[in-house]
Amino acid sequence: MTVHGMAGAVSSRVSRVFTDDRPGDLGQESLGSEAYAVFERGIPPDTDRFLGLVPNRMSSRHPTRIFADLLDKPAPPAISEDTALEDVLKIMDARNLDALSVIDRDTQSFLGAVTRTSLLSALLKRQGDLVRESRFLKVVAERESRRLDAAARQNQEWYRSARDLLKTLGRQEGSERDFLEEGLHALARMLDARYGAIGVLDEAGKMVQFLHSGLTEEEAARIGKLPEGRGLLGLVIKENRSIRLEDLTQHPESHGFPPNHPPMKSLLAVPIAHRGEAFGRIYLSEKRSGEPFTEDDQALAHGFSGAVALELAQRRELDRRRKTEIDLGSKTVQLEAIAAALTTFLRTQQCAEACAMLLSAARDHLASPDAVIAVRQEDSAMRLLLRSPAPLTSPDGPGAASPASPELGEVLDDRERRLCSLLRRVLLDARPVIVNQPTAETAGGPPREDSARISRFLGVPFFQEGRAIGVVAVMNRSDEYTEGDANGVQIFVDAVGMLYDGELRRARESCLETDLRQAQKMDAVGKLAGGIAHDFNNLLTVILGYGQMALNRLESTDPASEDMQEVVKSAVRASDLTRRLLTFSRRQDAKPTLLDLNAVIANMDGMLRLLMDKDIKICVTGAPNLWPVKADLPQLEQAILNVCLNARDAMPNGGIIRLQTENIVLTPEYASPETGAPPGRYVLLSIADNGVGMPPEILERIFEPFFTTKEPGRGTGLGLSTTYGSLRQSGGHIRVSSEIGKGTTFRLYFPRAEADVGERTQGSTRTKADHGTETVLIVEDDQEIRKIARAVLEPRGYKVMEAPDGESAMRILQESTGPIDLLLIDVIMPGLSGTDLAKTAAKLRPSTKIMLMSGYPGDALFQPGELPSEIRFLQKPFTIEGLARMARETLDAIGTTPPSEEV
Amino acid sequence: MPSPAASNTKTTIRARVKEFGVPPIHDGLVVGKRAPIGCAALRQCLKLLAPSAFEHIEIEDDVISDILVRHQILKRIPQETLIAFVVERIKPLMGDEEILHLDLEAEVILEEERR
Repeated sequence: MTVHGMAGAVSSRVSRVFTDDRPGDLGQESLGSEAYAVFERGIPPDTDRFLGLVPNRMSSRHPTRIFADLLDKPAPPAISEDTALEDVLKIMDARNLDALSVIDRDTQSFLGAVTRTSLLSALLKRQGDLVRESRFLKVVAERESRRLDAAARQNQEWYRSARDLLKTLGRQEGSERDFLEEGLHALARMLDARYGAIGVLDEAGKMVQFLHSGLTEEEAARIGKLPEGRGLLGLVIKENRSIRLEDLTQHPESHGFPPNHPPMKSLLAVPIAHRGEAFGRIYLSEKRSGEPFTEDDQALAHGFSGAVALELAQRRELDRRRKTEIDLGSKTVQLEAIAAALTTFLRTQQCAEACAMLLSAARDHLASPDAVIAVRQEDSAMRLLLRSPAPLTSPDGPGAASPASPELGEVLDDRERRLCSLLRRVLLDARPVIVNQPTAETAGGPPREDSARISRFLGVPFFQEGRAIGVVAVMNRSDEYTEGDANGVQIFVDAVGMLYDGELRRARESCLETDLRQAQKMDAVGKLAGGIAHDFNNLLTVILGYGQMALNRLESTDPASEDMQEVVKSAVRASDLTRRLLTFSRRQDAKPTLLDLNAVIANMDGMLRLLMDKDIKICVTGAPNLWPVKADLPQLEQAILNVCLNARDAMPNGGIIRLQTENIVLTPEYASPETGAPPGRYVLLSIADNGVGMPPEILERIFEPFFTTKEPGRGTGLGLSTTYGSLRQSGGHIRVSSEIGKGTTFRLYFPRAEADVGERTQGSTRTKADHGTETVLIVEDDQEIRKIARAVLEPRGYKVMEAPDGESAMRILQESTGPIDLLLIDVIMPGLSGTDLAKTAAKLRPSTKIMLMSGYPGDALFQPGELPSEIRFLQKPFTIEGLARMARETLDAIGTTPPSEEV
Repeated sequence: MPSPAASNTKTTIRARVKEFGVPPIHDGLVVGKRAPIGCAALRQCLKLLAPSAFEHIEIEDDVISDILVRHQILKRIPQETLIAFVVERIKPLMGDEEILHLDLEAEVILEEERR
């Protein structure tokens, strides 16, 4: 019999009896029974019916009664097996019972009996069990308490670390480095890790930051280098997954530690990633407890890395947004400035004004004290277009080979020369140039602190059809310039480039139009002048021929002789004019030869200096390796001479004439607008003065024949016309720019010539062969011719004397006691003619050699054989070399002289 | 108690022989509260010895526990009257360990007036 609910309270000392049994009749087995369970016999026997309990107290009092008479009336209640012991006791106490039967609720069958004794025993037993259990629980509780204390301490530490961690994660301010360092320290503390590190990657996956905890700065310094991404750390980076190792040294990917690195065994590495973007890795090593890292540790580290990744993503997104906002704000300001500049341009059509606004905006944008816009000229020189804050007073700047361009080293200061050097560098590199450290280039020599120094420089080029044509530069900011600054100013540069490009195109169109008009005009004038000159020349030939013959027939004492001389002289002058007109109209015969322009100028140098007034300087700069040109030498010399004389006349108070040669390549965008010439390779001769300059209305007419601003009698108005014609005849072009009060620059473009086989460049031979020490008397009524002849001969060592007419020459021949070795006589002169003077002089001084010269051909002046053989004839206009050579040959001739020749 | 063989005591037998009347109980029994035989045992005896049926009346009393009475008696005497009679008249005569034999002489006078 099992009674579960009574938990041992059922008495084992209950005897089973029947109703007709008597206590006194029971045997030994019933002795000691606490109660008797009374059954009524059933048939069959196993159907006995339980009637009730008879406690021992009752049976012992009535030992003779049958148990049926000992049953309580009414029968006490039975209890079930799940009745609580306390309730059983209460029932017993309430009814003063010694025993209670336990029956099955469902079957009402007898299960046993609970006596007061068994109940108390059970209660006692239970109490004892409770005591024992309490003792056990106490032990357990104490152990758990100790464990909980430790856990509480750990939790407290975790809480502190977690609070620090959360504080770090929640902090919005502070740098990314501070955030990561604090987070790493807190995580290492939470996981009880001795060492920790965070490697931060940039967007390209390159490690850009490595922070560590657990190592002192000295220990880190002893290790020296940062992880190189090999070995296990590289594996974490490469595979972007968590790694948890009990002994990292046993891992096949382990590459060991560098020298002085502390030993590490356990490792926990987790990636820092958010939405597929990897920001870096977190490494933890060596738990202080010596235990390996657990899954919980990994989960915590993973959670932290997720938070870090989120924070980094937010920070980077925030950074990106801030930058975008700043960029947008900056772009708005830039666009407003550009819009204002473009509006101004559209309203005024003034490129310079709009560019000035853009330059000012660029300067303000980069907080720079100075800014300039410079452009490349067709001759590769730099031209400062604008300067902010102070605009240049002249549109031309350093290096510009224009009349307005100041002389390098004289007018330009050091600062501008250094600026020019930097600007050239930007154009050459064709990309932004940043100079933040003072260099010889920016400081003009050893670094120094003075106003001439360009402390910092940022130049950004602008382009036209892929070619750098200008520079926008800002300078002297207190902070260093960066590539970001270059990007920031790019939009202004592009706008300037666009405006300047438009300006160039307009200028080109305007020039083309002007060129066309000018060409049409000059062509018409040329045709007219050429036609007239040709007819005139024929007429003059007749006049001169008959005039000369009449003059020969007249005695010199004849009053008509002097008149006839005037006729012949005027005819000669008219012939000279027609010749010039023919040159202008390009009808003059030319003998182009291969020439070295540097040598031509060098040959003319002495003559030019003599032709100039004393307060006019001539500065010649010849480019090395100058390409050859093909031109008629006399025409070329005459052209150069004409321009130089024009420059001289433009500087009544003195000045500088600069002659400069260089090789240039004219690109399509520069060719027509600047030069009027087609694209190609050219030799450029610039002749610049800093004289009075010319207004535009004068400028556009200076090549017209007979146009002159000189007072009557001082100029024919054909000098520049013939220069223009001879240049055009040789395939070249001429351009002129001028500014009132600043000066004028003539640019003569000669096409590069290719030397034919066997052809030798002329003009470069200035040898001693045409030099001498003799005395030459120049007899010429034209002062200019006298000066030119003197300018040719004196530099070659000759002593030169002058006479404006035949009479003066005669007096010199008679009165001079010194030797006069050569007479250079103009044929047609007022008064005593050149021919008569020659004849007289030959008699007066037989040893004196004689050269005649005239602008009219010799065969028109003299009958064949009329001119003595020892007298030579020089055709005007003569070349320098021609005059020098003939003078020398005439002096060296002994008796027999070659026939006169036209030079 | 000394063995008879060992003592010098003289033994005299006197017998009173009487016919055992069946049933031995005429009208009923009054059972004391501490009687050595209980009511259940008595009823079983009566059931075996007497063919007539006996009624069992339990009484809440400090001396008497039960009354067993012949069924026909209760036809002439109401139960309450019987109990009152027993408690009032017999109880004083008995101890609680005794079982008394009741031999009741109940006379019923019937009067009837018919019209």
